[in-house]
Amino acid sequence: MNNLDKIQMKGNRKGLNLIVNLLEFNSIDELIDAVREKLEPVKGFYSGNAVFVTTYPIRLQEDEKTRLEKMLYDTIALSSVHYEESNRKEDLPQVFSGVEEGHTKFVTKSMRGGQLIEFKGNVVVIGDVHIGAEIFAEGNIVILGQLKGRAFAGTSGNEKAFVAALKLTPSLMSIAGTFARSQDGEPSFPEVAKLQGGNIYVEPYIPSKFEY
Amino acid sequence: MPESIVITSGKGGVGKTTTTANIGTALAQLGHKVVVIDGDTGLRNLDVLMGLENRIVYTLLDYFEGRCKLKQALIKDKRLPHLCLLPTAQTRDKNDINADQMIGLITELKKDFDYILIDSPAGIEQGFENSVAAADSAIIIVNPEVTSVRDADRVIGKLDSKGIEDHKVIINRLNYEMTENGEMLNVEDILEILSVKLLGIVPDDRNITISTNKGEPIVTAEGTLAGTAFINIAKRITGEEVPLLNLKPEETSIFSKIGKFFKKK
Repeated sequence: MNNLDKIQMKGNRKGLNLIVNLLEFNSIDELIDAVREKLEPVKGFYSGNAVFVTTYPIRLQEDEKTRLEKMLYDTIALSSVHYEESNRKEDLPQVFSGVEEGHTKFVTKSMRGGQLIEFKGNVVVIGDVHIGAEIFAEGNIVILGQLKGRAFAGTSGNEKAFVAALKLTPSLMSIAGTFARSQDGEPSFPEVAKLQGGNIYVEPYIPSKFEY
Repeated sequence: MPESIVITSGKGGVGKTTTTANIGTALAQLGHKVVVIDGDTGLRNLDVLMGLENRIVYTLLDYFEGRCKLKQALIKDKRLPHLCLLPTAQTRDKNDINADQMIGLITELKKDFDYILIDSPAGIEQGFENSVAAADSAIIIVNPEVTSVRDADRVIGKLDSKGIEDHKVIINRLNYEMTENGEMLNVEDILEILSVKLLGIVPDDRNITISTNKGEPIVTAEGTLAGTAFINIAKRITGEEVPLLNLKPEETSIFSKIGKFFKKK
């Protein structure tokens, strides 16, 4: 995507509105450059106006805000800069937060190859997940059986999501976008996979010691 | 109570049609009224296996499109008076039939027959949809191969989601020696992967090829291992409890003993 397309520009009664998806930018510098690039050609038209910067899915840090503000005042000569978080639903790929307590789907039979579950919440399967079955959950995935298919937990970005199974042998699994495959061999005990420092760690599940 | 059973597998070439022909014939030999329906429109084979390809005048499509009565499309078997074949058209394709038509057909057939066996085509498209639409239960044919087992798993999932929860599996073409040597998936492996009930095991038997080419189902021949396996399966379908066939080749055990005797010297 071209830098210019990453920022949406809209005019409304209050002034100019910039809508920015922060996930498109790697750093604040990149964002500032993109905003400058976007506004520089139309500088004369907007100078003296107020600007509203809407960011999603997260807010800008305070120091980032100041830097962006400074650039806007200096180069475009705007009268005022306001920040707001987007509250439009379509702008908000919200991170599911209910990994401790929240929306949960219960599947009470084994999932066979080719079956797919996508759920905005936790998924519990009472049965096996066969090879070729896939689960996409925004929260945790718990399998009371053998996990042989693919399991993707925390798909909307919750890094606290975990994958647990009585036999954790997925063909592929991920937590918040970090992927892992199981090693050869079958464990004889239940295991829990969680994300720590950007890597997936698999631990034996020992009831008395299980803490998250 | 009449029962409609679909015979399916997902993967092609595992023996759906052979199984349909043999179980149908065996059930008729046991004295039940049986109709076997070929669901593989465009690639029909069931008629050949039953040796009835020369007798086809009207087909399933002719009945559905009002060109004949159901009785005219049904073909009586050469050998067994209680057995009928309902052939499908060779010059049409699977999209020419829909699920509602099949439901209507099976309801009609249930008035006259005890067992309605539907031979499903390979795949999970329209032909499969039509075949399972009116089925009360399903028999899944699986070969001891990873590909076949995987497809069977997919099909069982499909059946589950259609509300057909009564399904059993037949393991076809099992080679006893190869499973003993660990070169082929064994029965336990397959049942563990699929977690389904076992209806029977049919050994790999060259007589099957011979009987297919002759158009005589193997259950009509005396004393073949595969034939006995199919008869046992038919008995299990009627509710009789029959132990699994011992596939260990007995006569070779004597020769192997002699062989061992000579090897020692």
